[in-house]
Amino acid sequence: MKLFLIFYLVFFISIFKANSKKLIIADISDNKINIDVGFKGAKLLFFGVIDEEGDVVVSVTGPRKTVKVRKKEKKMGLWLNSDTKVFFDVPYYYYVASTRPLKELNAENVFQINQVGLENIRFAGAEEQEERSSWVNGIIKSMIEAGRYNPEQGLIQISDKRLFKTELNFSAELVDGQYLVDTLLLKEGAVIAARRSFINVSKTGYGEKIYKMANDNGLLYGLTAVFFAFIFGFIVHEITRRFYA
Amino acid sequence: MEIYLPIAEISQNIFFLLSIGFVAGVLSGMFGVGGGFLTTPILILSGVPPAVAVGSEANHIVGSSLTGFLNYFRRKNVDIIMGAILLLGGVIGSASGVFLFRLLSIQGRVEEVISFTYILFLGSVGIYMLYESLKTRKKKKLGSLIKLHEHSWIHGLPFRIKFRRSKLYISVIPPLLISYIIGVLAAIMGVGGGFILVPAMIYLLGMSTQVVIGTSLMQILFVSITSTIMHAYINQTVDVILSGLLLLGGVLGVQMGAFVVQRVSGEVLRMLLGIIIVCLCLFLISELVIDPKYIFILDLLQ
Repeated sequence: MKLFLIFYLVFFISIFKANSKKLIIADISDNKINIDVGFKGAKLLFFGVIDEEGDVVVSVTGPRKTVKVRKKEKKMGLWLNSDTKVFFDVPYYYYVASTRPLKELNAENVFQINQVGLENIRFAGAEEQEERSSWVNGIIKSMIEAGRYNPEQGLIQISDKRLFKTELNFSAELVDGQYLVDTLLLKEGAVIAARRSFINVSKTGYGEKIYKMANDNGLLYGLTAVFFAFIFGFIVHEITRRFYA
Repeated sequence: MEIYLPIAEISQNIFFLLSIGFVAGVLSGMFGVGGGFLTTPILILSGVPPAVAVGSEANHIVGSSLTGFLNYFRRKNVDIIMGAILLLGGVIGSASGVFLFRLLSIQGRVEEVISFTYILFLGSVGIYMLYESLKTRKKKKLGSLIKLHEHSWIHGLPFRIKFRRSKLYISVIPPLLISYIIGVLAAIMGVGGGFILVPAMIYLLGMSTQVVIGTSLMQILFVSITSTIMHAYINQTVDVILSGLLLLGGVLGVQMGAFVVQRVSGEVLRMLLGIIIVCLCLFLISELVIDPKYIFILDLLQ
C-alpha cells in the first residue's frame, strides 16, 4: 500500500510539473463504495499535492434528500408533536477535515459560501432565522446521533509542505448515491484553488437485487415476501411437529 | 456480526435481531398476539426507519402467526367460523379506520386523540385482566365453581350461530361489532390489534383462553398478509432480510410459547398478558411525561 502510494505521488508530481497551472491535485484510493449484505463501513484514503503553501480543507457531502421533521413540545406537562416541516436538500452524510482547525483559518465567509462545517450546511425550507436556529440544529443533532454527520473535524497531514493525505471514514449507515468531495486550498483566508472529486456509493449483490425489486415492482415483491414468510412458517411447524411427535 | 439491511439502509447486529425475533415468538406462541407492539418500537429505537420497522414487522408476523396458527389448529384450538366473522368485522373496521384517520388528520391534533385513547384502552384492559385473573385464582384455591362468561342480553341478539369449538351459541352481532371497533382502532393506531382482541374475546364473548389464542392467530395471519402487501406496494418499506432474521429468531420462541401454554392454566396466562399490557401502558405514559432526548424527529421522504 505504502509503496503504491509513493509511486502514485511521484507519478502525480511528474504531471504536476507538466501542468503548472493546477495548484491542487487530489485523488481518492477508491472512487466507489459497494454496499453488500455484509457491509460494515468503508475507509478511503484521500491524498494529493499542492503547489503553493497554504491550508487544505476537504469536505465530503452525501446525497441530498427530502426530510420531514416533527417537533415535540411540552403542553400541560405532556410531550406532544406540535409541528411538522419539510426540508429539502438535506445531505445524508457530512464530514470535514483540514490541516488546522477551521476557526484558525479566518475564512468564515468562504466557509459559508462553500458550506464548509456543520453550521454552514444549507437546507431548502429553512430560510427564516428562527428555523435556521432551532429546526436545522435539531436535524444536525439527529444526523450526528445516527452516525451520518461527523461532529469532529478530521485532520489533514501535510508532509514536505506539498503532499497531503487524510482518511475518510464511512459508517455502515450509508445511503447510496453520489458523494461530493470538495477540496479547497486557502491562503490568508481566501481560496486560491479548488477541486471536486466524486465517490459513488451503490448497493451490490443481494442488497441491490432486493432494493431494485422492492422499488420496481412493489406488488410482486410484497407477494413474494408473504410467500417466503408462509413457507418459513410452514416448515417450522412441520419440523417441530415431527420433533414433538 | 453485522448485516446490511437493503431497505432500511443500515447495518444491524444479527444476534440482536435474532433475539428480538425470539422474544416476539414467545409472545406470539403464548398469547396469540403478533408481538408488533413490542418489536416495532425496539427496532425504531435501534435506528431502523419507523416506516420500514412497521412494514417489515408485518411480514415477520405473517410467518410467526402461521406457525402458531398451525400449532393451535392441529390441537383443535381454532374456531374457524368465529375467526372468519372477526376477520370480516376487522376488515370493514380498518377500512373505515383509515378513512377516519384521514378525517381527523385534516382537522389536526389527531395524534393527541390517538395516544390518549390508546393509553386509556391499554390501562383499563390490562388492569381488568390482572384483577380478574387474580380473583379467579383465589376462587379456584377455595374450590368454588367458576363461571367465566355470563350470558347477557347481548349474546341473545338475533342471528344466533353455534360456535362449536368455542362451545358457544350466541348472536353474530357482538363478535362483528367488537372486531369492527378493534379494526377501527388498529388502523388509527397502526397496530395489529391482537392484544385488544384477545381480552375482548375472553371477557366479552366468553371464549376459553386456549381457543382465543388460536382464533386470534388466525385473524392476525390474514391482517398481516394484507398489510405486508399494502406496505410493499404503496410505501416500499418491507425489508425481507430484516423480517427473515426476525422469523429465524422466532422459530424457537413460538414453540417455547406454545409449550408453556400447554402447562399453564388460563388465568395465569391472562395474568401474564395483563402484566405486559400494563407495562406497555406505563411505557407510553412515560414517553409522554419524561423529557425526550430529541425534540426534533426526522423521517426520510423518498
